[in-house]
Amino acid sequence: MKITRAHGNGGRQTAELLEKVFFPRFSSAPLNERADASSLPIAGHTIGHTIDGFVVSPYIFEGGDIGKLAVCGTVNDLAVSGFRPLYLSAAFMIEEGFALSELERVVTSMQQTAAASGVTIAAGDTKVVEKGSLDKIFITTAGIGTPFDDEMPSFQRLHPGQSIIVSGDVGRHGACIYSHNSDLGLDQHVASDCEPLVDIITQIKKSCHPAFMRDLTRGGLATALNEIAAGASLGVSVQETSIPVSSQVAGLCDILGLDPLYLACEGRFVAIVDAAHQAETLQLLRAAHASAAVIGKVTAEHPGQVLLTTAFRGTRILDMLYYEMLPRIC
Amino acid sequence: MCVGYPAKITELVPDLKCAYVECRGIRTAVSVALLDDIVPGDYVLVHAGAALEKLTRETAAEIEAVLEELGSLNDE
Amino acid sequence: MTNELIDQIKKNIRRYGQRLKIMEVCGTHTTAIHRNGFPSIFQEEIDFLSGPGCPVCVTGGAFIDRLAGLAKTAEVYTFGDMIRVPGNQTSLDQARLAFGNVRIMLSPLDAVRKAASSGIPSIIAAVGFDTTAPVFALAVELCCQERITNISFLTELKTLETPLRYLLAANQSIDGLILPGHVATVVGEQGFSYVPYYRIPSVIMGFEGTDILRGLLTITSSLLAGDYCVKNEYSRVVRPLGNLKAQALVDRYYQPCDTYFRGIGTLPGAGLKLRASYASLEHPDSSSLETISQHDTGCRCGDILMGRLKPNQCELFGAACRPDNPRGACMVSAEGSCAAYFRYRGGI
Repeated sequence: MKITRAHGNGGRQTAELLEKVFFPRFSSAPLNERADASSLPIAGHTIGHTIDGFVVSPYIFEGGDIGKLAVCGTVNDLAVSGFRPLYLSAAFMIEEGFALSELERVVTSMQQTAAASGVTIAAGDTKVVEKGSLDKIFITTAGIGTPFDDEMPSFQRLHPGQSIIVSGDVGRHGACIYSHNSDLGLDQHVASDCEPLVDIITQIKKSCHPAFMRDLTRGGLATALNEIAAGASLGVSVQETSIPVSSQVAGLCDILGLDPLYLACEGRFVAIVDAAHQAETLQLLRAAHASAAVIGKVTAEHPGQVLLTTAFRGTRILDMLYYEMLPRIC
Repeated sequence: MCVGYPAKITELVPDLKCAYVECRGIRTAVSVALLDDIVPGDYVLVHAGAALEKLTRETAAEIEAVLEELGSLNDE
Repeated sequence: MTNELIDQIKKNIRRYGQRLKIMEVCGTHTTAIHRNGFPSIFQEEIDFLSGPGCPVCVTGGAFIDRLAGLAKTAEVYTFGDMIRVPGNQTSLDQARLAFGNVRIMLSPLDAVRKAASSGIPSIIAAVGFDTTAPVFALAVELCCQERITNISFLTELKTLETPLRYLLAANQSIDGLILPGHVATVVGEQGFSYVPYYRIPSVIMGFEGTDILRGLLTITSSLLAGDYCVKNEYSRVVRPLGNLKAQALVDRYYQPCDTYFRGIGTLPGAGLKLRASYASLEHPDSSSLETISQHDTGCRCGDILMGRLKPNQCELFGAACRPDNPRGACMVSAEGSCAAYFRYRGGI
């Protein structure tokens, strides 16, 4: 069996690969939590730690670049897991022939995004590889942080009746990358939603006591909701008409035959809060993005499954991304 | 067996029998060789890179009305 | 408004007095019906069946193998839908892994332009029904006009009339027929002039949820009235005669031929191949007939495509046959009846 692109799409095949190859060999208490960031007990304290690799192509896009993404991805994983990001380390793998000015641009972008997120880049490494060995530039970032407070978001804190709120319209980053695919002949590029979430999550943590948060990345909203349902062994019920999708993303999906609920985001998260905190959470999120919306609830029914109520009040499963989402005409 | 989407003709390229169309803010080029008398502002149904038919004027007006209503979501 | 539509449909069915079997013959309708949750809404009233209108589902396994094999020595252009369909031996996804040169196209016209500028020997997979045939005709025309010599088409185009007639003749228990709105855009209302003969209420429908509901209302009204005329509920694009220019273009470049429907067998005259004058653009392996092979694997796609079986009645469904390990095209194609059922079935 060979590794395929589907193994990297963040959906079912990625999950299966992790279960089959990695978790059995790297088994540890922190890793077994399957959280966006691991909780490490060190000298009586709890440190949050996470790592992410960034291989996006094109490396520059509307709304950001691979550098900004490399900072956002890691600080956001820490933040949604309940940790204030403090330090990042970054490893660069650069293809021979990559322009110095482009490298400077990417690194400057990281510097700016790190400053905006309140993190310090504390360690780094660079490697240059032979032309053709990789696609221009890959970056891996690891990050550590300390808990915002004593209330760590976790699957265990989820229970039926809690509200699920999304921080803004979904699918922009995925749509951005598709719009750059030269095979698809689109004249216009959609802007990515790539942004750091540290500030907004700091506010939410302070006032709204979220039981759980997850940032929406590969596999999109649908995949994140499935991970939540599976992790908590509870059901998730969402309303189709409540899920915010911008016209542009919808238009791109119409043209390519894609589903926006499976498109990646890089600056969006879901927060799950008690009903009592729903209004305040929504207000805080809407101050950042007017499209933030309550999309559904945690439920005791259909544990492990995500059920979508359609615009016609029918119901159907909203499954995890099973495979690579490919443009279709059929 | 046919994903098709409605799109508005924005610009014709007569020599190449194609046109630029817009679908909810996304622009792409499609062939209009299967249709006659297409002008900018017309709405067409696009499938596999070609416009298959013109939408009726009433439908075009409906689409415009809906898009105007939805316009605010794009303003982020 | 939609609540009223739903209520009226249910009222009509109650008046009719029995549960209805309603069949659609277009993969895009299969998905639209399931994605909108209609099986759950009409749980008590309607069995939604899927017929042989998903070109990916009915494309032969040997065709996939041939196309995958050609990737060894040529650049292959195909619709994304085809990538994961299992052939008898291999798939385009595996060819992509092995050789790298399988390219996804959104339009055969884009493929022609890319292939022409690359100069590399290129194969364009011509798969689709009546809706897509005119676009391939345009692609062939472009090759002729520009005198492009490095492209050939591996053709497995199909037309809907023969399999639909076959289906209607073989299946006496369908109560209503949902006709594909985009096929109808090309062939017109007249393109379904044979359907009333089978005395099943039939409606040409679009693909939005409201289109389907309006169409279901018309089917149920026609059933009560004993009205077997084909109704057009997609008149915003479907005209009585269809797109005559598109029809003429297909006729200029293509002629009917026998073709193989996966799970069903060879249907005479149900395929299209390039006319003799354009044979130089046709890959010699096009339209090779094959024989049914999946009886060996226990796959019931054929019965499902003919509406004789529902996906969850197939023994392999959900266990030996899943989207990540499909036995037949109905499971792997995003529009396949089994895939739609698997993805969306929990709500039913």
